[in-house]
Order: sequence, then C-alpha cells, then structure tokens
Amino acid sequence: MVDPEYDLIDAIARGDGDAFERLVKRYQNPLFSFIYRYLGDRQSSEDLTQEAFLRVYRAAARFEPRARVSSWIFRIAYNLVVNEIKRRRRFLTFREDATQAAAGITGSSHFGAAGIDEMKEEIAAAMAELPENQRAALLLRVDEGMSYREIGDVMGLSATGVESLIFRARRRLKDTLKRD
Amino acid sequence: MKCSEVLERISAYLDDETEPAVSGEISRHLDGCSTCRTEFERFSEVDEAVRGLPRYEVPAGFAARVVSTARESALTGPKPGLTEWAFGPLFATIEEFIRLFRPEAPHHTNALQEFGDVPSSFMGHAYFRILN
Repeated sequence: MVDPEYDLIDAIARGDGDAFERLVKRYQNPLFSFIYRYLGDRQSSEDLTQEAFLRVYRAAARFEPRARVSSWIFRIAYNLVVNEIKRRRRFLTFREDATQAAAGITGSSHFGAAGIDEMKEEIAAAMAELPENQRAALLLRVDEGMSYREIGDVMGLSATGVESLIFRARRRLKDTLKRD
Repeated sequence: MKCSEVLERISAYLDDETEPAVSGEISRHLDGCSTCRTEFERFSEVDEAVRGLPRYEVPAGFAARVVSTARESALTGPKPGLTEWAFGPLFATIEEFIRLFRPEAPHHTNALQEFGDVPSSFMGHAYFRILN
C-alpha cells in the first residue's frame, strides 16, 4: 500500500510551507516524546526535535519512497539522539545518564506530574537503564505502534533483530515488575 | 510446540508478528498451559505499564517556530562548515592561481554544477579546473 504521506513530502520538496507545517504538527509530539525519553531534559529535546524537522525539510527532495514517511522521520530523530548520547557520554557516566533519563521519563523533575504511582516510576527507571537500542525498539512498538519492519527501517535492522531487541527489553522490564 | 519454543516467540506473538501457522500453534498452547499463559500476561502488563507512562508535548507555537526557521535557512542556505571556514580562502587562492594559466577555462564544469551544495572549499573544484 502506498503511504499517503508521500504526497506531503513531495509538496515539501516543491517548497510548500503549509505542507511542512502540517507534517510538523502531525509528528511534533510523538517525536518530542520519543527524544525526551532519552535525553531527559526539555530544552535539548526541543532543540533536537527542531533539528530533526529541519533535516526532513532539507532532505525532502532526496526522499526515496522505499520506507514509510514515519519510519524515515523517526530514523532521522533516532540518529540524532544516538549521536547526542554519544556526545554526552564523553562527559557523563552511564549511571548519570540513566538517572537523568529516568527523571525525564517519570516527569517528576521537570513537569511535576502528579499521580504517577510507584510501579510506573519503577518501570520508568528500568526503561532508562535498558540499552538504547532495546529502549528505542520497544518505544517505537508500544508508543508508536510500528511494525517490526518499520522499526527495522528506523534502526537499520532486520525484523528478526528487532524481535530480539523487543523480547529482551520486555523480559528485563518484566523481571523488574516481578521483583516488586 | 514446547514451552521453551513458545516463550521464545511470545513477545512477537503479542505484537502479532509471528507467521499465521506459528500464531495458531502458540494460541492453542496458551489455551492449555497456565505457565506460558501467565508469562504472556506478564509481557502484556509490561506493555500496559509502558503505555501508562506520561507522554510529552512541545510548547505552543513550536510548529510555527520550526517552519519559520526552515524558511530562514532556505533563504540563507546552509552555514559553511569548519573546513570551508578554515580553508575556503586558501582553496579560492589556488583556484585563482590555476586560472592565471588557463584563463579560457570555464568557471565550473557540468559535473560539479549537478551538486549545488558542494562547498567552494571542495578540492574537486581545483581538480576539475585542472582537467579542463
């Protein structure tokens, strides 16, 4: 089935600013949420979300409709996040990263979100401690409802590789829940 | 299907990513095996917990800001990279020097014109100049 969003990318490539705005509005929150769960701070996540959209805008003319538009956009964001994490690792230890990301996931440090029960905090902290590729695969599946093939397009993996990542992520989180 | 085989594919089964024949076998196995069924339920609970985590939203006006930045960058073009900034003048001088000996040479070749975003510091400019 042809992705109906190909037309949107075509329009952006022809310089249609309204089409670009429609695309941004459609993806801004899923993309921001995905990035925020990694970085754990709002400003960096906003900056990276904006950068992802600017790259989409600049690359629209070169887009090849081999994958879904959503996979392409998330791949751009995923690569940016991975690079940002690598950059941060030069300055932070993994533990600090994980703690910071956990704070972002639970929302307690920046948003003061109320009503997040203990179990959710546990799972949020456990999510933050997952290897990045497992976390990305699980989030793309559970939050974005992507198929294994689409996730593979985002992360540059086979469907079997994605299955393995998601399986390991769930098993680890399940063990966390079981311990409580 | 053995329990170990079912447990290996249970995550993919939950995502409806197993082949139809395998899905049928797992489904029948779960009907008769409480251990695997419990495991399946635990996996589902994990998903529910993840889905229950807060989702974050960009601030109001974010889209307008991104569109405006994109339009500005389209008007001004990409910023020069570090290499172009550092060596651009040097490469331009080399090109001028070559032009002294080949004043009739065209300024650019078709080969490079195909790539509008090639920086002026790119050695290929000098290379094509020599070729021509």
